[in-house]
Amino acid sequence: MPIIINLDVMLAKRKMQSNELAEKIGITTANLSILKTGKAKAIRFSTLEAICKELDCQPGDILEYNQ
Amino acid sequence: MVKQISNILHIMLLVFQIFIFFLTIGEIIHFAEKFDKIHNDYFFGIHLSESDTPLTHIIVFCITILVMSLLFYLLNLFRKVILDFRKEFVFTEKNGKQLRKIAFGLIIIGLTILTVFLIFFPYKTNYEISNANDNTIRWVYNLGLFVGKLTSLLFPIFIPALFFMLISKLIKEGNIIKTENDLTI
Repeated sequence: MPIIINLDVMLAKRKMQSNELAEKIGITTANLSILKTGKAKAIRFSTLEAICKELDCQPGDILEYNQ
Repeated sequence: MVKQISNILHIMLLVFQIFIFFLTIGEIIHFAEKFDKIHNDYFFGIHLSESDTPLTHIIVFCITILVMSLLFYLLNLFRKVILDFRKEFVFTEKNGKQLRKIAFGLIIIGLTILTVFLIFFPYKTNYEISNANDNTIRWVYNLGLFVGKLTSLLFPIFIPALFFMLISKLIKEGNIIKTENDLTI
């Protein structure tokens, strides 16, 4: 899929653990892992909003389009 | 509600499967016992008499056993699908594939019956209406009998086959939607 998730990059920048973020945004670590590995088919606006809020970033920092 | 319906359907299928099993065994025993003096035999509405050769009887017997075995296998597959429904695993790829198999199995059974019917129908029908003098009456009677018998034989097989195919397609589509939903974070 040409959409790349840069969540691990943002997590590294913010020096935050995956399970910590999962707990803060209210999703399971398994689901966050699906999102990180690019296996997810879609992302809800509410999830994106929560991630952006916790990581203090823009959606474009997490999602990237690559041809 | 789905659980109760699945339970009832499961029991019905199990009973039907046992019935088919004993019918097959009964058919084999009947054939083995009266092998040397077969007078009457029926294959899905086609009557075989002593005027037919023993080879015809043997072929019809073998086809009957094959059709019954296939029906037994298809019932078993359907029972497994119903068991999955009972556990609330409805939209799975496996269920879609099994329902598709059932549909194709039913089509094979239908085609087998159709083939045997087309082979045996002409001389069986002429034998039945040999008293009719007028050619037109004979022709119209034959056509009516042909269409009527064919419809009554094939409708109960092809309609469920199409139904199973449709359900399998729905389950396949449902599985795609379910996967997408599961992978929406």
